[in-house]
Amino acid sequence: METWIIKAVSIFAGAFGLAIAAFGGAQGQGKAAAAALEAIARQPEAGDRIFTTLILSLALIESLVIYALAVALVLIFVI
Amino acid sequence: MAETKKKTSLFKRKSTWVALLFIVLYAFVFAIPYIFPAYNELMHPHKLEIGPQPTEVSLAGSPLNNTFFGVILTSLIFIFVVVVLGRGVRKPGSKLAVMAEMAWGSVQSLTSTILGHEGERYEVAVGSFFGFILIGNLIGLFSGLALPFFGVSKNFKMLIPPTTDLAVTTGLAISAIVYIHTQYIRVRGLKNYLGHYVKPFAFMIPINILEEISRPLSLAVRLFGNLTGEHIVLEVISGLVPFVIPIAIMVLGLFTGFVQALVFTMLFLVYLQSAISSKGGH
Repeated sequence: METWIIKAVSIFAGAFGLAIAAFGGAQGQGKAAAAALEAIARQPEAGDRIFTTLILSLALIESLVIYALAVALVLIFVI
Repeated sequence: MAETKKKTSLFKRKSTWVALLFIVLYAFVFAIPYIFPAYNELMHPHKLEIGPQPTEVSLAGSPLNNTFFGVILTSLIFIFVVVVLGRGVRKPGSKLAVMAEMAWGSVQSLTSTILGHEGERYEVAVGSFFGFILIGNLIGLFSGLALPFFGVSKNFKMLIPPTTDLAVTTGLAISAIVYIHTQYIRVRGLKNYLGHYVKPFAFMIPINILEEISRPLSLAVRLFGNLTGEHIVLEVISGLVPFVIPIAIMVLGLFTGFVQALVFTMLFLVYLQSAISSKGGH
């Protein structure tokens, strides 16, 4: 009885938490990508350096979402 | 007259027959699981189990994982590619030589954008990390491939990319971090290395140590999480519609695998740069 409740709650928490994390990550990544595109359009010759920095910052933003994904995987598959 | 002509010409068009063929093909694909109940067992034996699965092959009494075979296959492919490209270099002007120079040139440009002229001695490490992770990620495209023809065992059904195992990514991250610390000591001396733990104040030691620990952790979890998420999506989609549709996800996987290999290599370079640059810190 109690394990059933724990399982249901942890699955719900995993899905809901991942949704919140994806929302925040998408907002941040959208802002970063928009700023980088503007910069490249203004200064195309600096495109390579901007692209490198963009990929790095996207990875760093994405890593927080990935932590949420790891927690959600543990919640859904392990517990 | 014209209407009858149109009716007869409908079945003379090639496109009609192609469309009919596709409809029949789709109907057949959707009907397969009902006609042959063993099909699902054969094609999708894994019920969405993430990570490594034990096989019936055992070494010294303990069963080996899928990851073991994935890592060995990745290493063999990587060594094969490097040896073939290396042979091509000796014949200047051949296709292989051009390919090898393109690959090596991209590694060199990636290293020099972050490290500058100091980066020449680190090109081999950068290329090795990038190549191994890229090949390991791209093996995931064959993950739907059942391997009955290996004849090894019944449980050895599926080839998982080795980077979807947390053990492999942790190993890669720890080797990268150990390399970076070694280079820190080699370039700037042991005194500076020990000194950078107490840099602003002495009581910052725990925070500095925490920072050093969180770097390999984030490297490992990032690679593992990205590849596992993409792999799960591919498995779910190919479990729903095992025909044509997963190709779109596979194309996405091609991109994800490349970008994640690039990101791992780039973060390795950035950490290395913050370790060996004379300004210190970041």
